[in-house]
Amino acid sequence: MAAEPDVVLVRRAKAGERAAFEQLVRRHQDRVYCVARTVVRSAEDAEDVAQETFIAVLRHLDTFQESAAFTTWLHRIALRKAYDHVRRRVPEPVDPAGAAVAGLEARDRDPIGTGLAQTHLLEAIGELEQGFRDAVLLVDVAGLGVDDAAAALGIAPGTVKSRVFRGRATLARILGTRGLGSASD
Amino acid sequence: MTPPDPTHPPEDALFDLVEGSLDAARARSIEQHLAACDECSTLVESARAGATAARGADLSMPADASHRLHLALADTWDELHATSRPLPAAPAHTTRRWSRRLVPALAFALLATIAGTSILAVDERPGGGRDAEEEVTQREDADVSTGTSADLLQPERSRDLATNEKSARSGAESGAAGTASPAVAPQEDGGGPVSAEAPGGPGGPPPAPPGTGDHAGSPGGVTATTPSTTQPGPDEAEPVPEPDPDPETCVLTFGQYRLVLPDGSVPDRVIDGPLGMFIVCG
Repeated sequence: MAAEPDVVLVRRAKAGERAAFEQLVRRHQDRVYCVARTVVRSAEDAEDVAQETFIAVLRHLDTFQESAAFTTWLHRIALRKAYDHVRRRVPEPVDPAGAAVAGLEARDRDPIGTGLAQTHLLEAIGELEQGFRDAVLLVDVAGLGVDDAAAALGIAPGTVKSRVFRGRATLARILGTRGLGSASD
Repeated sequence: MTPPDPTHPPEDALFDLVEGSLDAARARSIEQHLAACDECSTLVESARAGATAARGADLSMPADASHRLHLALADTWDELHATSRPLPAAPAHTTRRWSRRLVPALAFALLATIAGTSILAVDERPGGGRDAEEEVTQREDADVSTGTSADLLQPERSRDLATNEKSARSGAESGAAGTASPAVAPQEDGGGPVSAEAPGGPGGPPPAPPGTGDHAGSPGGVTATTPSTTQPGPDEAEPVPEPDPDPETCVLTFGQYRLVLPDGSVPDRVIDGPLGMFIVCG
């Protein structure tokens, strides 16, 4: 089953092959977790969102239309679950001291490649305005094409492009101010 | 929203430029503009850096979280596919078919009996320290099918135990120790029996619902009678408060249900027993 396209795994899962569905999950769980983590900003909540997402996918797999990309459907569900989770959550007090310490630790390390740096990268993406954040998440983090991201977000492809462009530029500025990653300004 | 500056390339075109998906002619035109426009060139450089950073986001799901995810999905898969699984063929042997129908019925009856007996296992606790976990109410037209303590079981209506417990406690301590109505069994420690039947049995005067304070019963004990009763029977020495507006008796249910006493008092403690049944104890 290695390297089988998503559409094949989906068909096999619909036919009752549990291993095919498990393969599908393992292929996309990290991306879904990453997207969720960026939105909900908590590892525990991201796990819940990822679980809710894949359970929803499993329960409604029979309704999935193969004319669309599986990743489009998957990440649309993931974003919706993540924002639902945010809306349900009681806001927690911000710990600026803790965040500052974590930032200092991150700068001592290779910006990209460590868990902590990854966490701060996702936090920086999470600071973007929602429209830019969702576009960057789907295109750059989840790896969706522009058209698929547009379908998932319900907006025009040209709008996705401009939002991703703006989101990337803003992200670079945020990272630059934190000393994380390279920044042009 | 300000209209885009016509001298600057649109952002979707700049996106295509960063992605390298512009046609050659268009790309050259934009590059020429960037060479002369610091604002756009800075923006494009920032976008390139942001793209590099965002594409580097690769936070893997923790192993334990992944494990839990797959366990949850396995359960869901089993649930979904178990419901669609065809029922096994009925055995040809008639006696076994007959047994298949009878055994569940007998099991249910046995469980009902056990539940009824368990409810009666009430220890009389000295003092007023009731630790009622379930609201105790009573059905007005007590559906006393068995006339046993199983009649005490009623579907739980609310979990407002604090309020009911407080009221029940005050009521339980105010009355004399009650004794059983005819449809009760003695408590495990010989304390006051428990009965869900309204004083006087079906159709008798309604019991005191929790919160009214007019509860009878030994302190800490479970009683089945009206506030002033010391013996079973329909005779009531005191006026009976309005019955619980939701009088419904359930002999046995799985899950939450309430122990109902005629006087509305709350048993000392109601805990979950095997198979979801409540066991009342002191």
